[in-house]
Amino acid sequence: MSAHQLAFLVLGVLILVSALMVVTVRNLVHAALFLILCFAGVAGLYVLLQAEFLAVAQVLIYIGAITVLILFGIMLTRKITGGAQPPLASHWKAAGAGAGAFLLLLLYVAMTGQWQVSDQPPMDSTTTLGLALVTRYVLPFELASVVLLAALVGAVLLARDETR
Amino acid sequence: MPLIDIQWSWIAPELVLAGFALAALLAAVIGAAARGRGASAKAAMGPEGGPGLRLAAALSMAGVALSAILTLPQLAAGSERLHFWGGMAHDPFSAFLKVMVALSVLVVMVMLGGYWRALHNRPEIYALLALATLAIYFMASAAELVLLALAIEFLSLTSYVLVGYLKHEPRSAEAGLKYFLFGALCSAVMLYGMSLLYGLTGSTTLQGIGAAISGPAAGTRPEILLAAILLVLAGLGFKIAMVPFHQWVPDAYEGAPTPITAFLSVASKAAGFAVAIRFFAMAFPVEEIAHHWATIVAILAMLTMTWGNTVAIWQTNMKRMLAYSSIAQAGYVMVGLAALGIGGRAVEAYAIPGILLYLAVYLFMNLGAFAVVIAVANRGGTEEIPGYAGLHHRAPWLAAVLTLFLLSLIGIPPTAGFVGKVWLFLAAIRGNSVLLAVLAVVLFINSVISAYYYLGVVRRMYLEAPEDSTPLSTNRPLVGALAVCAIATLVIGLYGQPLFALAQETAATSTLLHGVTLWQSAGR
Repeated sequence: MSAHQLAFLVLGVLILVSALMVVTVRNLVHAALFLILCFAGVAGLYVLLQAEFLAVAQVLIYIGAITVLILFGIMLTRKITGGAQPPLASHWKAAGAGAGAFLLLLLYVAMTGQWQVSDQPPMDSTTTLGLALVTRYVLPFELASVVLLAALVGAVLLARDETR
Repeated sequence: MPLIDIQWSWIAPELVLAGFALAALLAAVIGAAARGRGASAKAAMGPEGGPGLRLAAALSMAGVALSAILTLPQLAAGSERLHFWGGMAHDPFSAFLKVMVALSVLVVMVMLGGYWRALHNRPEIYALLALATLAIYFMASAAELVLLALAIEFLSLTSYVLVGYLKHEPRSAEAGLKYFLFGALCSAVMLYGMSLLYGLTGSTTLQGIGAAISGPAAGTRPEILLAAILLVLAGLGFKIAMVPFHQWVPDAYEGAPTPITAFLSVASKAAGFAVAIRFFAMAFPVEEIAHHWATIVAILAMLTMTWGNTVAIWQTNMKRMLAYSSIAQAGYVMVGLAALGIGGRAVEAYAIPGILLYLAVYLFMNLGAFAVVIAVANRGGTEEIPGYAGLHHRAPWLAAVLTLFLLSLIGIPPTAGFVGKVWLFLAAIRGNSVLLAVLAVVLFINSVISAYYYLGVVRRMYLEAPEDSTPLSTNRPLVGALAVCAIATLVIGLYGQPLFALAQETAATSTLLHGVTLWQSAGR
């Protein structure tokens, strides 16, 4: 087993275990902390795939911004930081069966699909990504800003206190 | 050669619409600021709304109308273009849908003006509707997975907010939340399917995917592709309210402000079908695969029609009944989609034009039905079906137009619904396949079932005595919206040939949608 494979294995176990903990621990703050671990594992996967920019973005945005926001949300909304919320809803068996079937389908697809493998040598992914964003993907890039604006306005509309 | 060879005039309608929508947002903010100063506090809280509301509404409507006018030239044959590295398709097909959706949004905005609930201190609803229209424009044109996913997400995000807009009413808030949770799950599944497609074909443009699948390097087994297609279908099924992704529909339709419900049932559904047709036609031009996905769509269409119509029978709330009816109607349109996949060239002249025609017809009859729901519920009325008893005595015109819309929804001549259904029926029959023939029979049986509950409302309106016989007055915006819908429903029903000719011309000149053409020019 090469070092590369070993690293992948370790990261994979880390991601899976922490993801499982996110949905099963009773304390929401702990769940958010496990989410950080999960995101960190994904960032590690990006490094393994030589996508440094994505790895850094993953750390900055997902760990740095999103989880911190989630933690703030938990602390500000209700007193659930120390509470014992039942981690599983009542339908968890049916949901688990559905998810299991989905997993089997994906495993089958992953095993038997003929995946396209690029024959080009690895290149500077950050430069390529930057170029793609202002050329080929300029339209999605611009549209994303409008989508974010709409989401922002919508969130404000729903959350604003209008009694004053 | 310059690095970026693009002209922004390619997306002029979209840019205009975005500009006006943002201006409407700004107008809403300015209106709120004026209210804060107390300068026009009284006017702003009155039924007419403040200057902010009127300005936002005017800007939004102007933007939608102007963008539709700018889109008109694209309806002409020979205007077909694939811009932005295969990302945006401008063809008569997308232009037809854009103009149609713009028209429906305009009617919805007019209906908002006659809606009785207090929206007056939040004029942002117009800007959000305009932004949702922009999202549909991109959905109708997107020919690339990244842009497509983003456009679908755009429409979803604005729709969640619109559904939960009456946030102080628990039902609206709950509807918004349910819609959001269900939508987030469906989006995630769809994105998974898209990533599988990218991994299998190495391309994100629909044309590239189509070329990879039909090209010489096509080694992927169809069942693998089918798994990816199924996952994408989950996301699209959510948008068009297809069984089994329909669970959000009754709650969201009932809880949302009624004009927004009308928007969801008409515009959002049309956008979903636009994406489905383009996705299947451009990315999977191989007959073998087309047969597979179309078989699944055919079975789901039967389930969708039957489930929607059967459950609609038991509804006692008008909006919930129309929600289930809209599920059933999605099933009817899916018949056309299935026919397109199975029948191939044999039904090409019927399937896409049939779908376009039905969506256009459905726009008028369903918007009209919801406009009547608003008119009856206005001034403390009810949305429950027993409340429609004796409507004939209280508001003869309302009862008459609602009867027209319901007859059209059943598909009885000489209404528009009949014209629409005939072409879908023909597409299924001409397909020359047992499955399609069964589908046609199921479509027919379902029309009969649907007659039961639609006519039940008509019976109540005309044959039962009203509990409270005070006459019902309708406000001017609603009268306008109702008149447009009723006249269109009648005129298309009596003389639908020009519209069908336009739809046929549209489908014929949108060669991007013809898998065969693509197949011949395959090669990456």
